[in-house]
Amino acid sequence: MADDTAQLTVMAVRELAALAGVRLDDERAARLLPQLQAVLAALAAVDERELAGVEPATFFSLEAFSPEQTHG
Amino acid sequence: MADSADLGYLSAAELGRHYRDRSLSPVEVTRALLERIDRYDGRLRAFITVMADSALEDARRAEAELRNGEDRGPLQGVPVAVKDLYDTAGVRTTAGARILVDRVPTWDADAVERLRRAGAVLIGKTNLHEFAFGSTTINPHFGTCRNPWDSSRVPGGSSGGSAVALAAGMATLALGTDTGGSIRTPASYCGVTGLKPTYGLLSRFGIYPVAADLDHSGPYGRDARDTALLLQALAGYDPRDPTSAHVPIPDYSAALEQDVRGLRAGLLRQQLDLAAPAVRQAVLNAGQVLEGLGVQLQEVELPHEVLAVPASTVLMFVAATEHHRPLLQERSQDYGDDVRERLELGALFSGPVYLKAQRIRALLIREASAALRDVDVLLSATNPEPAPLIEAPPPAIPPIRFTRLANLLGFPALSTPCGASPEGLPLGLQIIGRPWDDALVLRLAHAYQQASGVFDYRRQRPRLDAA
Repeated sequence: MADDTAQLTVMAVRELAALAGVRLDDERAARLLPQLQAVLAALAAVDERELAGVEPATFFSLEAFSPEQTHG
Repeated sequence: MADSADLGYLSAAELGRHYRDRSLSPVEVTRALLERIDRYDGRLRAFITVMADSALEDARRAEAELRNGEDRGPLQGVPVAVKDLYDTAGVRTTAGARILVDRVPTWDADAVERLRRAGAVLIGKTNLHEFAFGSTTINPHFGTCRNPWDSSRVPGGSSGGSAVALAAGMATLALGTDTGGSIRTPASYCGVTGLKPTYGLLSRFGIYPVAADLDHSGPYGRDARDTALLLQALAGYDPRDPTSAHVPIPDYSAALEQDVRGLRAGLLRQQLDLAAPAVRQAVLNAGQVLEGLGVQLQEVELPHEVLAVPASTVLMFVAATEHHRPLLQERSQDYGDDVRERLELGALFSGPVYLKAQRIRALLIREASAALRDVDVLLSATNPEPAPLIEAPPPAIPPIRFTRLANLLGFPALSTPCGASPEGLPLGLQIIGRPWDDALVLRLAHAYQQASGVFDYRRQRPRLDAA
């Protein structure tokens, strides 16, 4: 994960896009660079200790919940 | 009762009574609404496809059935507008995209099937942000949809056309979809009620996807009572949607009548602090109304709430890009500039970034669940500001800043009008409930609407002839 977002360059953005099968010219890559940096910086600001023991929500189902279970 | 404005603004509940005492007929009402579409939609651009002929057929069928005593329930003969993201058999479904301009499905979305079974009149397919991937409904392919309260402003998106159709009295009920606020933002900007139900309560079958695990189908009404009526018709298990849930479906309309005294509501402090002064004041005023009804109000903080937008950006954009990749490679020039740019951004997030966003999602679910042990609902503004001007640059705080959270959670979230800005623009109050507590969210909205009288369309309507 690129925590140091300042190191990202227009060329790196083009290469990342190419890996995903998306072609970008320099102008488009330059427009996307600050947007990418902003999102990555926001996520990188989270202290890993706060995420300790938190598994990704890749399996997402609310069927196990009921209003009764979450009523205080 | 022949005035088209009066007919356009009758609620579904009122239409049902009139149909059954034969003081009005579905054909008469449908004709009146089609006349209003003809009169106003050239400017408002709420509809991509008006289904005039089939709507009148639907109305005639409903009228005949009611005359013969075949009662299908409260939606029979009621005109419903359908976001053009829902498949409709034999009627083109464009997703608001040039790329799909000629796409005509041979099947109905689950929600559309349910509407047909309920005897509703499908009056047309509504305009949206291209591919439901944006929050303005400035659509470069089908025209910019305009806010009925001030036509120089956006109606919000992506379900802008559905909310506009209701606020302009061109439909009685409407369907929207919500991946990051696409039902709630237009509801807030246009002064109507919109519910993003609990994830899994409504089927997504036959709805063009943005991001499967954030996409929600949902109902619009001008008030909570009508929204509950429509939810009742739409909710239920569908084996064609793998995320559709087997859960009991309560009587949402009956639940509206229960008392709200003693309920506990938590004001999301972080969101309120970011809202514009008029928005913040409207939410605080709504809180006072609720307190007057016996609701206990307190402030609540979710420690990582600020991460909802960046985390959902990663999850939503990656999913949308993966879905669109073949089209993006072949027909990049046929996308609107803003949507293409978002899809290109979605190509840039790595696997570890995606999984970190999913961990943040899990953290937010944990925090919101903990908060909802102490209170019954969370309250905030729906959007930080009222509807922006069409020509304005993107605002510093994005419109979806307060809505994205509920898509990550999957919990039910509703927007109800809660007042107006100094310019007379509608403002929205967002109510977030526990999973499967959609009935309680509707109940609180209904109680608030009854007590406050805000945006009661019997008294307060947009001036469409001046717009």
